[in-house]
Amino acid sequence: MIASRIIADAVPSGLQLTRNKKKIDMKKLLTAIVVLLAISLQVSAYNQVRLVINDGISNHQLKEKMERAVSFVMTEINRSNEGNLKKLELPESYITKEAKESLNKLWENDRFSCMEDEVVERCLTTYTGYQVRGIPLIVKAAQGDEELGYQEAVVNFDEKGVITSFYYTINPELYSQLRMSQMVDKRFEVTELKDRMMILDYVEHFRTSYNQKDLKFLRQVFSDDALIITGKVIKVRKSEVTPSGNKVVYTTQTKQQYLDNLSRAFKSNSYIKVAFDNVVIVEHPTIKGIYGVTVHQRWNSSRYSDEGYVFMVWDFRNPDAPQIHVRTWQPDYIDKEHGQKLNPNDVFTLGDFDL
Amino acid sequence: MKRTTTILMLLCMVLTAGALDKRQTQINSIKKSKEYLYSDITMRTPEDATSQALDLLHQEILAWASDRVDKEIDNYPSPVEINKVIDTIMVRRADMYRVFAYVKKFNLIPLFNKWDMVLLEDYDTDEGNVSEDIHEDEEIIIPEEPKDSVVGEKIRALLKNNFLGKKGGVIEQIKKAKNFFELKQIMEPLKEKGEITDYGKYATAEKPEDCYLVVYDPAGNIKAILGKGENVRQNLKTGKDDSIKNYRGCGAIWFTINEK
Repeated sequence: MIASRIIADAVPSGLQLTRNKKKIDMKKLLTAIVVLLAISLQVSAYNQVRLVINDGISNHQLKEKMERAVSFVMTEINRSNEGNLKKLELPESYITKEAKESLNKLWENDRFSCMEDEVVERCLTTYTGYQVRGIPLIVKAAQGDEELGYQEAVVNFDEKGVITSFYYTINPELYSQLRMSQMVDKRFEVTELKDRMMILDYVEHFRTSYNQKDLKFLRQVFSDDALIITGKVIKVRKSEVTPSGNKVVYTTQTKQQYLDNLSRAFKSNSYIKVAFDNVVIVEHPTIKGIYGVTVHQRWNSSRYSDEGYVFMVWDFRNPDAPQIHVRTWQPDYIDKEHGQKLNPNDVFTLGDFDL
Repeated sequence: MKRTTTILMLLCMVLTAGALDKRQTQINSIKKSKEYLYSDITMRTPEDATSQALDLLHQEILAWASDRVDKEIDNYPSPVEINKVIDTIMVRRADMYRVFAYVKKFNLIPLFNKWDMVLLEDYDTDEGNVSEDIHEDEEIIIPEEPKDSVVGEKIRALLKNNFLGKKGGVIEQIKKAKNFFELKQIMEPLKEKGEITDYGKYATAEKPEDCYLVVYDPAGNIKAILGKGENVRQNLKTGKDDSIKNYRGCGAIWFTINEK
């Protein structure tokens, strides 16, 4: 209504135009277009988000409850982002206290918003309840205006449909591949699928804990005698063994040394973005519950960036408190200038460690 | 002048936002409908996203098909055959590319025609509400109520394609490519089968006038398929006269058909 009035004011009739030859009031026309733009973009203070679960759950009541919970939480996140609020206020009927605290920890470091009004996703059944993946987010650093790009969120629910966690996903196609392999290979046991989903769930929690700067979780997840190995490229004299003149040397750290270094990195960087892709999970051939997890990691922080392979030995023998016994990092490139990549055969695997 | 430019820019923003919103609505409509299988991938490059989305949808199709028969399936259709019935939508998501690949289950009937009855059940349980503009995009219209034959017009239309000459068949297959990346996936098998004798980038064509051309824009979207000729070529999508000169700033892939 207001828009049409402004347009009517701004654009004179053809008769007036020919009779008076007046110039169109450009200012008013510009205002009219801005109003139209605002209407067409459906600009409001923030996006209202609606989750629609299209598959994977037959209990209609539970499905609606999960949809309501995510819709409310995401809309609240958008509202808080728009208002630059320092804390997310979320009711415990939709999200557990622990999940809310964890989400607020992420919020202290990253600011994000859901970019779409309607999100349509499948529901997956997990070992503790349900899961919805693929919620599209635009992320920026909480301090400063650094854009951290696109991320997808994964939301876990308990059996009653209450949100129990909110993490950034590992590369989105991985879960689909996991789901597909389960469907294609009839021999794939559902119990094993559940184990693998549990591992990926922890890997996602682990990955998000760097964004959250959550030293408490990292201290809890690394075993006390964890072996931490970090590779570094150094220049050496060219020889038959090192034709590029570059060599990777490895240094070991204890859990405490690693966490101390990490704590310093958390303090000195306004933001840390860790992304995992190409996740490979291998089960130990003889020890049930031990898994080797290899990921390609992209580390991007306000002061430093790198890409490399992270290999971890995860121990799920106590599924309530899984632990990491080994973590290694190796650079993507031995000689980036000349495009010489690390030989894939040199990436650590489960077979490299005596357990 | 400055004001006019500003106004034009604002109008462009309105139109772009509208188009994005329409594609988003279309994707959500398909996801909500049980008539479709789909994959939805967001990755750092359009090539990775396209390849991953197609790969996942292939797996989804094969899994869906194998769920509908008790015995082991030994005659899966080839990826090229599957690609013919797949459509894709690409949109930017901040610094990444989203590729949504989808296929109507009904369109899989020609590939898996022994499962007609099961496919009908899929339709009976459909609760989705797909917007009409999706149907407008399809090249072959599916009858709303299949009568004596489950296969209906869709299969008849596809069978008709098989009776076209070799040239028509090749062109029809190439027309299915929506972008540069899908094109390569279609071209290579055609070359292996000997249906096209060769293909390459425009600059490498020895006698361009003897080659068919697939024209693509800088984003990799296919803009036109042009027949042989020098200045004037037939646009094989519209049937009208066209020229390579009408596609400044675009690239082209040439190919030659084995017409023996």
